[in-house]
Amino acid sequence: MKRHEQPTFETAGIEEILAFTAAYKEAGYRFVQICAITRETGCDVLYAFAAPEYPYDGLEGKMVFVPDGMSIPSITEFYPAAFVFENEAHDLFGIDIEGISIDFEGNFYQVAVAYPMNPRAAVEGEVDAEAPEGAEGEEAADE
Amino acid sequence: MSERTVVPFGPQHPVLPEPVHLDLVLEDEKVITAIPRIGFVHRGLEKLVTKRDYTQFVFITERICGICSFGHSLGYVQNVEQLMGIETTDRAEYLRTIFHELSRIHSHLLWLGLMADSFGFEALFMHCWRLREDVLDIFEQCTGGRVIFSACDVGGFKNDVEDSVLKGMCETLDRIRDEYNSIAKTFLTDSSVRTRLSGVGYLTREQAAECSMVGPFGRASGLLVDDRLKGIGAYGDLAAFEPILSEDGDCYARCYVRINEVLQSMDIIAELVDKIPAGDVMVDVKGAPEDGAKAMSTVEQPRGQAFYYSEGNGTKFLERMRIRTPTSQNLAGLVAALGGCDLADVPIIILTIDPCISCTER
Repeated sequence: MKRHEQPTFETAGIEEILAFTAAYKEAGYRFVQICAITRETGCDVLYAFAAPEYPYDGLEGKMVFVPDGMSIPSITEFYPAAFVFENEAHDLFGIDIEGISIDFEGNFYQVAVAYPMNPRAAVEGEVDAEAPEGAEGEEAADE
Repeated sequence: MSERTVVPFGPQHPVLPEPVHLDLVLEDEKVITAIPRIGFVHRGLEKLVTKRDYTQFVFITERICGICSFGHSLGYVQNVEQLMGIETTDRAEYLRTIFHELSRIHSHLLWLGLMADSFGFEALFMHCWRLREDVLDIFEQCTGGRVIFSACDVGGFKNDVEDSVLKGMCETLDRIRDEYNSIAKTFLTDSSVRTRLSGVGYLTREQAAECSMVGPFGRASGLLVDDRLKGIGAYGDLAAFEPILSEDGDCYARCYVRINEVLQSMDIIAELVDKIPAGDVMVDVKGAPEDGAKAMSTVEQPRGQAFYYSEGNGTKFLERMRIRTPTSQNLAGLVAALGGCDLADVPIIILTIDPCISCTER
């Protein structure tokens, strides 16, 4: 009886994010999720993908280290479902992600403490809050 | 071009059991685009790994959601077992799979009731929820709990369930099956239901793949996404398993897929109860996850694939626990399904992804 998957983890640089995402997309891989993990001088961002055909041995993970103050590109042009996780990585970890298709600019989660999952970025009471593009009635109606 | 207006939908709405907000940009009665917003009840449960050790965290994961409570505890313990290299017993794997499929039945019955309620078919709603009570009675008989029952643990299944009780479970399901078939017939053949759901919220297989949709929402568009096909645990011992698919891609197809998945789950339970091996249901678990160890796994929950990632740091407290729920993944598909629909169809379309906001707001 098979009890566990056999996932693979590889590391990659920030400059490789778009290239490996495009390669997974081209190969028909399914996007699974993005999550961040707080480290001493930045955050690791884990991108997970699943092979297009069943049964497969395990998920494939790409771990990208993002030093404090650096930004990373969005992968929503390849996988639109990533917008949820990229907004989450920004709101909870303070990771700057450029070019998210639906960018809530800090308003995705109504947090009381900015970047609560990243102790270095968290600042009590300071939550950058601008309405997401198109989400406010007047703005969207004018478009 | 008609003037555009923005209609706020939610976070409180009769069709929504939990708070989610949508800004609907309309041209006349047509939805041009929808922008979802969540975060009203975010609980930060992932951060609790710093306060609860890996054995205590099972109780947190099963409180992520009341409906997929068992699925979350199953996903978590499987992930931690992968992290620590633990192999539980065959009987524990069978019991886990049986209870996971029972959870799928109760989740789908709940959803079918909500669906019937949303288009005003109150008698159908009552019958779905009445049958669901019988499934909850099975949980109560076997574990003492009806919704959150703490049956899964790292290393196995907390308490064994006697074979005679499992046989009784199958008899109850056989009785439910007869009544369920008449409810399913109403859902699938009644002209008022069909008229309300057919052709509404249509998504092609290509759109479903593009949006990385999971669960019945994706399968209703013909997308082969069902992680039970990985054959982890007792799923690998099934004689055959074919996911329920539909090519229609509309709200009716999503209903069709879930209705047939209930019957499929009953078959899976009957087969596993027949095959379940004797033996212990728990192995000894000692120590803590190694520093730097990583695990990544998924579980096919009633609403679709849920993802778990954990990382050890050499102590009993995990360095990181990540849980990605099916509804988070299906938000992009929801936005795609709402594009171009009529305003009056928005509640039905939202309901057909079976949104679980408490999962999303873990």
